[in-house]
Amino acid sequence: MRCLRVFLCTLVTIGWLDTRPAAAADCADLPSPVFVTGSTAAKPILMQLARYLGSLAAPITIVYQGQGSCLGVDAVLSATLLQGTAVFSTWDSSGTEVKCDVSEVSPVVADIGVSDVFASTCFSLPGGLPTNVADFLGPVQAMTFVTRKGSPEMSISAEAAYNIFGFGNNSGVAPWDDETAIFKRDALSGTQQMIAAAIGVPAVKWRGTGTTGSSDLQNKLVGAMPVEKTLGILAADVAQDNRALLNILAYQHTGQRCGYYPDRDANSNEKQNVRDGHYAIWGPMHFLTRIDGNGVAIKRAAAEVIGYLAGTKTAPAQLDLVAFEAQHHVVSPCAMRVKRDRELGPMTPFTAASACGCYYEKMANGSTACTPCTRSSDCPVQTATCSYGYCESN
Amino acid sequence: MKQSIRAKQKGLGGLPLGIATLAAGCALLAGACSLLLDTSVTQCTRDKDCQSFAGTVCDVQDSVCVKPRDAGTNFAEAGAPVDAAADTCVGPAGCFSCAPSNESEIISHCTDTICVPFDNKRLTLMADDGSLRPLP
Repeated sequence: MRCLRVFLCTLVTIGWLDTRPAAAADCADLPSPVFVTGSTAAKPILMQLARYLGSLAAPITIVYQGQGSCLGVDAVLSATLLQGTAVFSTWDSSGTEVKCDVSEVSPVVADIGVSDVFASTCFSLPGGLPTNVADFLGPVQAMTFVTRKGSPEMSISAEAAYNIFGFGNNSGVAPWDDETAIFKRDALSGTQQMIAAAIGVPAVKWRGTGTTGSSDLQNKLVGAMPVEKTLGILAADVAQDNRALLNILAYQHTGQRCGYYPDRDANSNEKQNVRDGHYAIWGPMHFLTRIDGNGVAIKRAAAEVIGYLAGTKTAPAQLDLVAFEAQHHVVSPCAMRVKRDRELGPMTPFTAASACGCYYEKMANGSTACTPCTRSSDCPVQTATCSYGYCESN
Repeated sequence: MKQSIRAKQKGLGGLPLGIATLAAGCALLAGACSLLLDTSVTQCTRDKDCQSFAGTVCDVQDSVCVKPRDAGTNFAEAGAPVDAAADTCVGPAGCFSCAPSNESEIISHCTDTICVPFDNKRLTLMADDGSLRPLP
């Protein structure tokens, strides 16, 4: 009997030990760590970049904590201290996520704050950003209106969305007049803030059923009834990864008389209407960091990370971010033909120094009508520049 | 007075030409026609849908093929007002056909992508002057 007690006691002890979280590495001890925090939308791209940077002879380790766009902005503007156990992610060379810790006795300041929206959308910044902080623009995201699959609705206007999300049950826009089937995020969500700027309903005034995140919104939308009354908002990457369950609506911006999908049609992926400005609800990812007097990130490794994300640093062949971004439904900066300087602000024409629209299209859709080339002399006059293997217009 | 091609022409067998073209077009433009068949009054959603009607473009507001002059002279396929001074840059259905330089020209630039109009007449609760109501 005594032996049995000892045996059971030993099992209990082992079991107790096993339930404790395994001690993770101290993030600060990893090779050249760059602390990044903010929008969860950036996580897949950061993972892809982390795999490459971690494989260099002088490796750089991206250490990431997802916690929402405006908290990412605040982390840099306010130099908020970060700390915690098993809340920071790094990735090994295969892309497997590995957690690390920052102890409360040695908290760190974020090197890069990631946001889906401009800093001024999160905070009142009448004088703009502090002179020691810069906002580097990265891949472009589109935000979408979605319905549950089976809804007959195909498009929505800015004016209709104003009434639906501004008045809820009293929208006066059939069939979207039942708040139990209309789903919103929260006032700190980059998705909600960007769409709020487009339709003129401040993010804090939205009506509808609240959700805790993209997955929660999607789950609630897919379970809502009746189907024709369903409406929600999602970033295009989430919506397009779930086309079997959701319909993305064409969006008719103020001043337009027709609604457009982010893409050429409801089923393609090349973001044609985002890239040329026909689809209005888009914005770049923002990478905020502290800079020196020359406008360069104070932390050299952070500058390296931002250079790739903003497309200002040429990526090697093994780091094909354009292809990765195309397959994850965000638009590489080099594929854009328009730009804007504030949230939903006026668009102006834009051409990247090394344009990649054709290559992006090829990677997104599997084909492109562009002319392949190896040098610019291969290209016709109208698309005279050979870039990323295709003839691009200047 | 806007007059659609659908109302003016007849096709083979006495069928309205629009219907005959719609049927033929479906064989070639399955994607576009999936939109067309969603409503009995939609003849086109873009200029390409009107190729069977020589010299016509799509009036996206009424979803019918019309002669260019009937197609809403100051609105592009995208629908935004186009700078009247830029007469030489007016493309099919009034879209802006030159290199765009500002937002108005960008959102009204000629495109062959699918568009689906939303009829704002579906908004039933407006302010007395017809504008949007102030938020509560």
